[in-house]
Amino acid sequence: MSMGVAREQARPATDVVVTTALAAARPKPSTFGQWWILTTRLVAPTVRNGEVLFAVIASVVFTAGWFIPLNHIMGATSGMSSYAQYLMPLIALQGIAFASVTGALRAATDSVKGVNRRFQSMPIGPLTPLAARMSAGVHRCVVGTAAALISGHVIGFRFYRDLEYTVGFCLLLLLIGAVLSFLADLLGTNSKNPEATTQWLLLPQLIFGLLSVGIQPVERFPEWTQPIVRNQPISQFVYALRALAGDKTSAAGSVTWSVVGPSLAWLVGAMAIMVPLSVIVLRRRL
Amino acid sequence: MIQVAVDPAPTKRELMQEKRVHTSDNTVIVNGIGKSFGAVDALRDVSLEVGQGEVVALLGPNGAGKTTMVDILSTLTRPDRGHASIAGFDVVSQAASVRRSIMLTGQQVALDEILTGRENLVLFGRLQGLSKSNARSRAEELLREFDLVHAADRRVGTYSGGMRRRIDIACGLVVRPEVVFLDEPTTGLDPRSRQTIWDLVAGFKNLGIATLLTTQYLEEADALSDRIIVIDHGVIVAEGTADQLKERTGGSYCEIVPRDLNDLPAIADALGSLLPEENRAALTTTADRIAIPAPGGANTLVEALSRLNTANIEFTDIALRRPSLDDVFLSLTKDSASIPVPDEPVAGEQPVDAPNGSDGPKHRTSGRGRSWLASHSRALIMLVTCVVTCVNLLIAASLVIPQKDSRPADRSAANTSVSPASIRAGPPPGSAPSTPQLSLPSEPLPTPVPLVAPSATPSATTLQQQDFADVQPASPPLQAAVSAPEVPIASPPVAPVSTPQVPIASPPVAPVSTPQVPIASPPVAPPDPLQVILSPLLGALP
Amino acid sequence: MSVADEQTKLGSAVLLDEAFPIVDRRFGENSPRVLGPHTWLQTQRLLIRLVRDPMTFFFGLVFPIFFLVVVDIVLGDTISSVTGHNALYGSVPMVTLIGAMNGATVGAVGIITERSDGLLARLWVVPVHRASGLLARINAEAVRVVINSFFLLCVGLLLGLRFEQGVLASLAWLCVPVVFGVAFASLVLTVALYWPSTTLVDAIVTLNSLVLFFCTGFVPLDQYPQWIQPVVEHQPLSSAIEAMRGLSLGGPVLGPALGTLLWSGGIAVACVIPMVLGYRRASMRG
Repeated sequence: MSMGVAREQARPATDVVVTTALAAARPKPSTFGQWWILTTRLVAPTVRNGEVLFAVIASVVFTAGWFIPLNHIMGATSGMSSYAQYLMPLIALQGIAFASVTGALRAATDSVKGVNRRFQSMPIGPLTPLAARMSAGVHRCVVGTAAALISGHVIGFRFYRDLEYTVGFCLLLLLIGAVLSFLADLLGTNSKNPEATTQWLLLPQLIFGLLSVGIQPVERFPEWTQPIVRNQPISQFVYALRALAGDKTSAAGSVTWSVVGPSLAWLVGAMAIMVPLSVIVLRRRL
Repeated sequence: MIQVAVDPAPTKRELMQEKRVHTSDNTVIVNGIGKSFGAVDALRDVSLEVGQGEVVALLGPNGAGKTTMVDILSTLTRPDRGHASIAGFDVVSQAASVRRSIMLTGQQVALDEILTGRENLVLFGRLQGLSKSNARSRAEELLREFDLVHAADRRVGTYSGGMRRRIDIACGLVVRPEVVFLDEPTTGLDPRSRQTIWDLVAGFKNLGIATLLTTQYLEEADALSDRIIVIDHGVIVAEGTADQLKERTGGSYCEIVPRDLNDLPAIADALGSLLPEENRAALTTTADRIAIPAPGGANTLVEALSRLNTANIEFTDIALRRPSLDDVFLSLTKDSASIPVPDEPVAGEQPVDAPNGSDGPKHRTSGRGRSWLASHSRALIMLVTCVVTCVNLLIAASLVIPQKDSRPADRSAANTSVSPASIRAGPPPGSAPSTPQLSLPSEPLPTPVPLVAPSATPSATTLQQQDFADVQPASPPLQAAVSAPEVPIASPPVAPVSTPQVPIASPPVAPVSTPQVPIASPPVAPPDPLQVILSPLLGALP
Repeated sequence: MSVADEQTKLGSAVLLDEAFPIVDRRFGENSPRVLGPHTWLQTQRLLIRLVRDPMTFFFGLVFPIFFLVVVDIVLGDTISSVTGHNALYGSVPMVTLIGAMNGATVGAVGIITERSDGLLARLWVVPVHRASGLLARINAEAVRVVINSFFLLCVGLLLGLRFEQGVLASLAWLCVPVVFGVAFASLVLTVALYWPSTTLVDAIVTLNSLVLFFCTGFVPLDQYPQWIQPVVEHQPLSSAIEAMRGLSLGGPVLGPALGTLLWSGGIAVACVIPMVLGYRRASMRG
């Protein structure tokens, strides 16, 4: 069926109907309308078929899984008022990463099933499907953030700073999510096997997530890994998010450019590389 | 000639030892078979027979019962009523022997797509009972004969449609079957591949193998089969050769197309008695031809030709035509108001939840157990989520229950609670010297206690330090004892209380912070509310 | 590439009566003497399928190895200092068992696709022992787990795992994942037969992650909060890990081994009847 474009596709029972239907003037599609329909096409099924639910469950599982076993063994050395406060940014990032990965699956499935090719042959702007996928990705990230915040609240995380910092926390999270969605979308469009892609994307989540300061401070890592751990993007995100969330102690750090800056630099750098890449990919295989 | 090296070498007859049920010549005998899926009757009292070397085509719209019939005859389904036998063996009581006598191929069954063509052939050869070397050589033969040698070592999943059909049939011919079931064998094939399959079926005839063919292509049924059985809504509506069926529908007729359309009335007059009244009345002004019944076949044609010649009327075409099987089919299955449409797409494309087969709706009711779970899976997931949410809420609720006073045992445990962790914190490499202090806040005693008095801080700190020394040796068990209270309750109760105090306590005290620690030192460590809730269940209070 | 007249004679050479091989049909279809050969035949087919699917290697080797290395880097020192011995004694068994458990999803997906393709039906119609199909699946899982565990054991040895209890104990160490893996695989197969959905893989991987977080191989038992310790202590994964730890390092073996046997036996026994019925129903149609 046509997507976003109200094209007449009546099955004529009589000649009269055919003539009338096909002779009518073509409606002009609006880009915004197309974008909205494409976005709802991606978002609506996830609510119905349980993907949203699954995201929430996964978030709860991983929160409980990281917090409960490690709270005692790590809590002492975290440096903050509670291990929950320390761990929260990683939990939130994991929710975001999960959202991005499912987005990659969606992109891959669309690509493999040839839906993208079909869109290409319709009067839809070339960027509209991509924009719709990004919007759907942001929606997924919002769900992931909400789930993470609720889980964090349950285990004891609290916001200690003013409202603007809290908003900043959420915004940074969504920004990271948008960039990750873009990256995952790019990977997904290129893959031939969506299910395998989703599982393979578990690996980077694991590596980057665990080998970061999200679980334990840098000093606890073996000497040879410390430079990597300290400078990898996830650690920078975690530092920034911790600073924005604040803490009773001063261990969270203050919100300065030196703390938040590297995160933004990573994000900008990632986009700077990915946007040209995606243009190439878009042209080659939508 | 390939022979299995069995010692002494038995003949084929000796190897088939099981007693046969029927001794007639007919290979396939179906007698009053009935099968229902839930409320739907797939088959109602169907009887047919297929002799040796005969090709019988089963025609019918979707949902007619063709697939169910083939399923019953290949032992994939058990009939509810009636009997059927293949090569003399009953399909229910002697299913094993039936399986040795049949070959099943077509849209409903498939090959292993991950294996190569050769591996598939060897697999089916060995499954049929050939030894490894026999199976291999037989596979080579079949690959050669079916022109698949160039693709033998590619996965079957990469084959084109025609190649896939060829390998499918080849896999069924590794040993000699008595009955062959061909299910839509040429659907989606190009004309050349279709001809190939047709030649194969002719080959089956020569070997005396009975063939039961299911098809939607009426011309295929017409060309290949000795007999056609039309089945609709689970009953046989017609049976006979193609000619017999066509006669039944209307018989031959002679069609005349004039050169000049205005001559039509003149032609009608010239034909005279050959043109019955109803046909004459049916002539409209827009007609461009005349059709007359031709009971005499070619003789009627000659007669009509001579009459028209006498009348000197020119015409462009005169021909003897027969109703197509399309007409036969449509008229016989008219009541079901269904138009023969191609079967549902190839099995692999079907959604996993729906079983494949043209008798779609009926099969769905048969998978009751599976579909219940699938249709209720969302409900189950919701249930699990509700449980998880309730657990979450329980934990959260436990955080707001006001703390009671601690018991003495807990107090001492709480006292030392801080230390083991801090001690452990020491050894780990790279830990900052500040760690010991930092450790304290991480185990704020679970005291929402609206206590204040940061005043006690210094003493508290010293007390803590003393405790460090004492507790050292006994760390592990202690931490076990204490771990419980900390986990769920740790921060939340502390936070609200501490906030006002933080400014007071700032830098030096911050780590130990929570002036609650000092407060906690004497008594403190109120029982973990969560544990209070769960202890009756777990009986695991420290 | 065949010429038209060659094609018209296609298959004619094989359709001569003499061309068909003679089959040894002395044994009945369900006679015990053919159960072994028939099962082994189908096991070979399934093993080829497993080897050709990259997900087998991902779940069985790649993910466990990465997880092992990362967990060793992050938690290794902390756990060693708490327990006094190398963390690998707990994490290598854990990773071996998770590799066995996650790898079972490949077989589950296999049976689901074979069912929808119609291959199960075709294999039912072939004259082999009625039990050989299902037994072959279990057998293939067992072989996969043995080979997998062996490779992961080698990785563990590379990382520093040492066996203190002798060669016999080392062999027994390899047997534990097989027993557990086969029981888990039969559970997964049973579920796949009654719930043929592709989201099964995600559900199983999430469940395995949950079980992974709450086992004694991840973090020592006494580090868990008191209220969850009974659950952690007695769950099947922990029993198996403790048995394997006892066999490699020393300590109680009989207790955990009995626990593992009880769990595995219980799961297997509970699954037998539903599995047989489900397989029959999946192969036959109605």
